[in-house]
Amino acid sequence: MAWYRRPEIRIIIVALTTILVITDFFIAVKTYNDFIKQLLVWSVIISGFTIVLGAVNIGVVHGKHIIKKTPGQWYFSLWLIICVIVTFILAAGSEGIPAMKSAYDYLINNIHTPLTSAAYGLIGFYFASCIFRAFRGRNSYVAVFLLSGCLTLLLNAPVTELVPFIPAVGNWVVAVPNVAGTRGIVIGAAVGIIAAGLRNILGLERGGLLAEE
Amino acid sequence: MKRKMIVPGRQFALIFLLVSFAIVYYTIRKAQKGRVPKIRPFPAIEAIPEAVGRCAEMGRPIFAAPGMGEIETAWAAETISGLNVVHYTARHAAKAGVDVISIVVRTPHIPLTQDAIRTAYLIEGTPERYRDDMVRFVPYGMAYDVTIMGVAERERPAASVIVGTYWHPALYTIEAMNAVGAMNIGGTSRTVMTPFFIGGCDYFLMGEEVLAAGAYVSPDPVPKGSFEGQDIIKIVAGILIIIGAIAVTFGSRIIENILRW
Repeated sequence: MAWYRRPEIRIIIVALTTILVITDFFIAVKTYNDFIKQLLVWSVIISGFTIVLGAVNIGVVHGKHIIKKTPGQWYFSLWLIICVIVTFILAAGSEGIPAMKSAYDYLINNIHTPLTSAAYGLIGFYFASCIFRAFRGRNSYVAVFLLSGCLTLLLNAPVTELVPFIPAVGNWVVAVPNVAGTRGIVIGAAVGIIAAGLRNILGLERGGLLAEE
Repeated sequence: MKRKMIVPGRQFALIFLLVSFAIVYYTIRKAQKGRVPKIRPFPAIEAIPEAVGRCAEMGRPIFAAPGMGEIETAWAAETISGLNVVHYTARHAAKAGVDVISIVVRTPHIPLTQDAIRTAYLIEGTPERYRDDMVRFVPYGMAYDVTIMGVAERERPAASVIVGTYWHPALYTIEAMNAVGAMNIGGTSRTVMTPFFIGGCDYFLMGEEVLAAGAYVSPDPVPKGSFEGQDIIKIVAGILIIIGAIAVTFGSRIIENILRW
């Protein structure tokens, strides 16, 4: 195996960068902090190159449908590829060519934005459908969810002015158990990140895949 | 005045971090030497073979996705868990001769998810069934929302396994899959999305269970050992919280001052 393809090289790079970025949070040395800031800018630039992966994936997946003329799919794939190419050309040209800039602005303001709003409008119906399904009350988790949801809804309803205890109970549910549970989950996630960081530094973060190879 | 090398107010955090590293390292080494901690089974994970069996009987694919969180941010641990669950699902799918469909919204997830699914088919002895287009990239946002509805209607998966970090598009996934009669298995630690997973999924994981499930399904002892270390750190954090709450109740700010050191 060529030396540059050895897994140890990848592990050293990952470990070094993880340690450098973690220690930046604790060390108050301006030169070091500036260096890490620059390193993070480089990482953002490098991660931008992964967009190429996305473009290749779209081309491969939908190109296959177009070539094979997959029934019920190939014309959607063709339209998608055309839209991607046109949008890319307009976006790339919009920086220097005024006509392309106005065409790109038209595309975004009059086509993309209304379509996005329409798609997001669907979420209201899906929201209601999900809550309606939840009212079947399959188990104790759903029952607790329903009860706390009802109390929270009632908090915002005018009827709470007639029944004094509802705002008190609802506000308590939101301010105490809800916040406590959320903070507990945040602590758990934070500890998970600490452990993941150590596994990265030690080169043990393989997702269990390479362990079987 | 002599400048301090360590940022003021973060010295205790540095010590806590180093101690946490030491604890996790110890439990990982313990697991690697054979003393692997037991993680309780999760109904949602136990239901995955049932979901795959349903897909095999109906001759339909299974949808499995690792979540939407970036792997280079705070969502890394949950995304890795999601990838482990995708790999576990793909292994059962490979055994049963079921195709896997996966949609990812972050470009770094493409090779990771492809690797998870391809390795699963390789391990189960059916590498010829794997195709790169099982993993499809769709940008996060409206594109994903409408794509998942289209995939559900056209390809009609009989089950979906969505464990990882999810934002509102998970609602589209759950409802689109429910509309075509798919069995939903889901999980996220994001509290704002948990109610929708509880309401829309047949089996769900919430909070810490998502991270534990990733360790549970992984054949590697390292995630399990790491999870034991995380539990110890959480117990220490819990003890600090309880002592701090009692101290503040009696008017003492000692724990607060230690944490701010």
